[in-house]
Amino acid sequence: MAFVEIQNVSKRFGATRALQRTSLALDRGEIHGLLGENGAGKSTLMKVLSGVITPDEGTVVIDGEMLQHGDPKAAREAGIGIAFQELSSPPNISVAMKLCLRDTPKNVLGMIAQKRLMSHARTVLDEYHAPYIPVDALISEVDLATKQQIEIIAGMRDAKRLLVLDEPTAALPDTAWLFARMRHLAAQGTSIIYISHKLKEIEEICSQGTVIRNGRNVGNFKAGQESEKELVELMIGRSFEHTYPEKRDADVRAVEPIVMVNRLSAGKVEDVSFSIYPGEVLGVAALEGQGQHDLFYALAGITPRTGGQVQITRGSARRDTALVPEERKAEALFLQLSSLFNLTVSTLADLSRAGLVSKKRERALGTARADGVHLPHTMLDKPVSALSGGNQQKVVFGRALSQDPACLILFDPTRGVDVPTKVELYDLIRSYAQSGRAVLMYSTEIPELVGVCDRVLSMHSGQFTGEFTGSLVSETDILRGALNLESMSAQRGTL
Amino acid sequence: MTISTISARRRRISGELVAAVVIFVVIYSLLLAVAPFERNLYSFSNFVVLMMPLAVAVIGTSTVLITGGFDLSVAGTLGLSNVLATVLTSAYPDMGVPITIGILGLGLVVGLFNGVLIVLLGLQSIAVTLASYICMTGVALILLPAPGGSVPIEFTSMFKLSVGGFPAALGALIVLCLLWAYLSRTRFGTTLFSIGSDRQAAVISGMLVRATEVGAYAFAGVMYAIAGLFLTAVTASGDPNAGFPFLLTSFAAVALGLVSFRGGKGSAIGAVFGAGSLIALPKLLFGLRIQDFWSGAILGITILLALSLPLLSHVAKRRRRRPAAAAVTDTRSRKDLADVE
Amino acid sequence: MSNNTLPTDQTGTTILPDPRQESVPRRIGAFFAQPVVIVWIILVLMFPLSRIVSPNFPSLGQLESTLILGLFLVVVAFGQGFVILTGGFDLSLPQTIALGAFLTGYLANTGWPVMGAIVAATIGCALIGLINGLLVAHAKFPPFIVTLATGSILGSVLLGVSRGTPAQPSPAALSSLFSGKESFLGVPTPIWALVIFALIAYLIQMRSTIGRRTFAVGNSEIASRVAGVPVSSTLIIVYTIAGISSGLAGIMLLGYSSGADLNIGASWLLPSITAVVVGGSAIRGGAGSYAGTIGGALLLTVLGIDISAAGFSEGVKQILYGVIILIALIAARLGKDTGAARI
Repeated sequence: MAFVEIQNVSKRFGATRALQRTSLALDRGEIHGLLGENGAGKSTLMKVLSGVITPDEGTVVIDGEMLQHGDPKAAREAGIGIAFQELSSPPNISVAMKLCLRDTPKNVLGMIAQKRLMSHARTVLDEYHAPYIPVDALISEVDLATKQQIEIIAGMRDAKRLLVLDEPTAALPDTAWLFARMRHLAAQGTSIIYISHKLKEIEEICSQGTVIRNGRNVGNFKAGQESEKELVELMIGRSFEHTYPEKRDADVRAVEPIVMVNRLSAGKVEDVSFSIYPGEVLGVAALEGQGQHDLFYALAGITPRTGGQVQITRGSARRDTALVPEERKAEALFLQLSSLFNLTVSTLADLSRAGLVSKKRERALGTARADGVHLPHTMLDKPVSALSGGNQQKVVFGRALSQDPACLILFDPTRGVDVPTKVELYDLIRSYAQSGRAVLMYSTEIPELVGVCDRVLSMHSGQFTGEFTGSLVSETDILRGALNLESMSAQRGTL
Repeated sequence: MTISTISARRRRISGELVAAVVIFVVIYSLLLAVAPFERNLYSFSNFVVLMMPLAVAVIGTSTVLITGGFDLSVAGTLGLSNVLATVLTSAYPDMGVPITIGILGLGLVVGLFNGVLIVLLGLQSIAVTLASYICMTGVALILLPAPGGSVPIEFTSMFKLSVGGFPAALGALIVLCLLWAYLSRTRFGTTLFSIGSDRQAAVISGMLVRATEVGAYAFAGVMYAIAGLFLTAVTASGDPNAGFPFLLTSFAAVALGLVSFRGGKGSAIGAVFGAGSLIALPKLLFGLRIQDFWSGAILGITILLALSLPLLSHVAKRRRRRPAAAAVTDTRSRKDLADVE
Repeated sequence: MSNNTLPTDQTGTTILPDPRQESVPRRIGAFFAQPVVIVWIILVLMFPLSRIVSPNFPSLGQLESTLILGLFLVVVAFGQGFVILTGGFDLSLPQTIALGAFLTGYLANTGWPVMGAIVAATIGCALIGLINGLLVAHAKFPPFIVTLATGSILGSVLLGVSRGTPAQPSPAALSSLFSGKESFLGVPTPIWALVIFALIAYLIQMRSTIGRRTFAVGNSEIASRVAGVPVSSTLIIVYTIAGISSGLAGIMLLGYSSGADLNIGASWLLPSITAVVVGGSAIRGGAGSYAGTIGGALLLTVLGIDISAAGFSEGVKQILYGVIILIALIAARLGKDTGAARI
């Protein structure tokens, strides 16, 4: 029996099966890669291991001991440490407190001994080779990368037997520190599950791995034995080619742009200028937290602008912009309400007379919109929270399209969406652009930008670092731009 | 490192607490300035005794508020405690101490009941505590259908003792404030604030969220019971509806104490000063010969002004620094998300 | 690869029998699990059950008095429920009721035509709601404390202005309309008022564009902004409507009790919230139906009548109210999986 045995774990939420008899086995000190797309069930598996959710079936055995499900304390006592991707620290506690939650120094009265806590936390940070992190700052005061580092250290401190890291490099600019710490921990006998969808990292750090899709194991691999292409195909379940719609062929820059942004500043974005032309899908590539969020949300009118002008030529469109936001559940959907409501709420004027909603027209319009995004009619009367991620995103798309914007703004629109739905969404994006409108799109997946966009701008620290058009739209170049590996300011003049 | 010096400075004294103290000091010094008869130890002693019921009650209210909950049972527990104290001490005048202990126990039980329903069944705090408030008012009405009863002097004097001119009540209040300060510096306190700012993160971090939340309601229940005892001492009689005014004044005091209504921020000690401001305000108006029915208006305006203080400091901060990115995901959305998952 | 016998679609996602769709018995079960339906069933059952407390019940008279007395709660609970739907509270409700009653009485007694006095009082109450709405929507203050403050200010201003004439007698026309002594087509006039108000309120909350927007804002403010729902103006309109409904309740109460003092609204704050909660609305907003609120309001009213008839004390009545709220909360919690918010 392996050191860590996860056997036939299943979990379902409403209509979706997040995990379907998923199994995983790790030797002592093994670093095991867990590959899968967003929404494949990785996070659910992790929540099962951390005791935050109770699985419907299945067992987890560590070093011969069966883990008691649904009890975070039991998980900790079994020596499981977790670093979550959605950062899990309350914002108003100190860094030291987060690091030493389990072994907070106390005085005789049981009060937290602040001085000892700080020095203890400093020792911990030294031990983990991160002495530069301020121990007495609040979690809300440190930047994203530092937060991620703190999260990882806290997870490692708990991990006497098993460490689970969920996309730890999403917010971490540099892997050297992380990989050194992981190797150190593994050498001490802790097994590590490394969740990522970055194949290169998995190749580098993991000895073997598992691919999951739709909550099931679909394959195991040993490092260096499978080609990248094979792994990607395993992950997404079909050939990677031919999933993107054809791009616009002619360069239409001669036409007046729909969106003209002049020296815009908002949040982390400083002084950026660009235009989007009719029929164009403009992509933005950036690592986590480079200002893309502020840029998109400022254009959508949600984050306040602090400078510059945005000029949008509306033409026949009804609104300037419509946004498909980052967090589908928290920012886009009215979860308790039906899909029909969600699809029609943006255009109440179309279905009402004298302020009263016509149920008949509401249904007719809602049905038409469901058809427009290939959403089955049976979904219309369900609360949108009961829909799968893909169908929920269709509802979000349907509503954004119903607003008939001059510029459709998509912030990571395929996050947590199954592959067939992704393909449908790509087609919707392209056909919206073809109707003469502008589309602005950000994605965490650079290949997706390469496949979908006519032109891509790379962004770093609130500035554009490069522009890639036509045949120049290639993955490696864009990544270099996003990493700001070379100054590309010369190209910015052409915007 | 600049970031650490800023935070270290802030952690020693919170801006909200300072503001609450300043508001109180301004109102109370104005009161002393316009009302010469308030400038003696006796009047001060009276003032403290008068503010005790509210001051103790808001320690409970603000503790729950910091976790992001709303506790309306303050009115019920306080009223029931008042009625029980009246009825029981009239019947058994010699049993002051056991009665007091019994009433504290009742507060604890009610708080635990609220906490268990809210935390374990996942019900909304405001609705559960509204229900328990109404129930307790009912019980109080059965025990004492109309205001009245006489509380033996031995019992009231227990709460109105004075030592060398200084009211023992002040000592009690200081002890309770110290108790709160102590609690807020324990793991319980850290968890309390963490729950209020991001409950899910607190759960994921492995904090004892459920136990702490139940504990907050239980602690609040005991505070309300104590407040009811002090009210009994002040009025020397029982009133089944005695709690009702506290439903609104306790939240007004909390607002004047700059405790955030969104959870995760504030201090019960600030709320105690808020209670002081609330009690001093009508006295000040009386001193200014403003007719007393205007006190409600002045109170309302003061609350609105207190609410705008964080807004003003936010604007000032904005001027000083470059604007930070507006947080788009507000706490409520996060909570919605947590509920669904 | 699949060790599962359930059918799968092309992505490999297992197609599950969704417990929410399908069979007729399940659908019927889901229908009866809705809080609205539960409340109305209990309400209907209350009438025959009233026999326990009095041999004269159930009777037409009992039904009639339930509807006449229930009118006020149906009205105040609409405003309160509409605000609760956005995730807020209106604690200025008692003072707004008093303003409606006081201003109508005062103006009518100084020689205004009754209709003019009613309109002026309603506008006055709408202004209070507007101020609440502006403070909540633009200053982003918590509604609970904003309405507490405005209520306190309004109460105090009313006291200051009304010095000497605290109680206002009701104009005769209003008294005859709302005291329940007059009938139209054999039905007492307050019941007509109830039907008309309930119909209009139902249309506003459940069928109008502003109603839709209120659901949206109460569900998620950020999603509303993303969806292009005008959040601020929705909030302002909702609070204004709540002010108007409190004002109307005040006017009706003035007529019913043939006069009004400034405390006329004090006893309606908690019942207004209770009726909304018992009616199955989520107290944090985003879900609720006005039909449920009406059911809740009438249920509380009939309970009050029964308890009085049984000779129980006020205390027992309060305890029952509290227990009913708890039962409603727990029932709503248990029924959560079966019924989504419906419009």
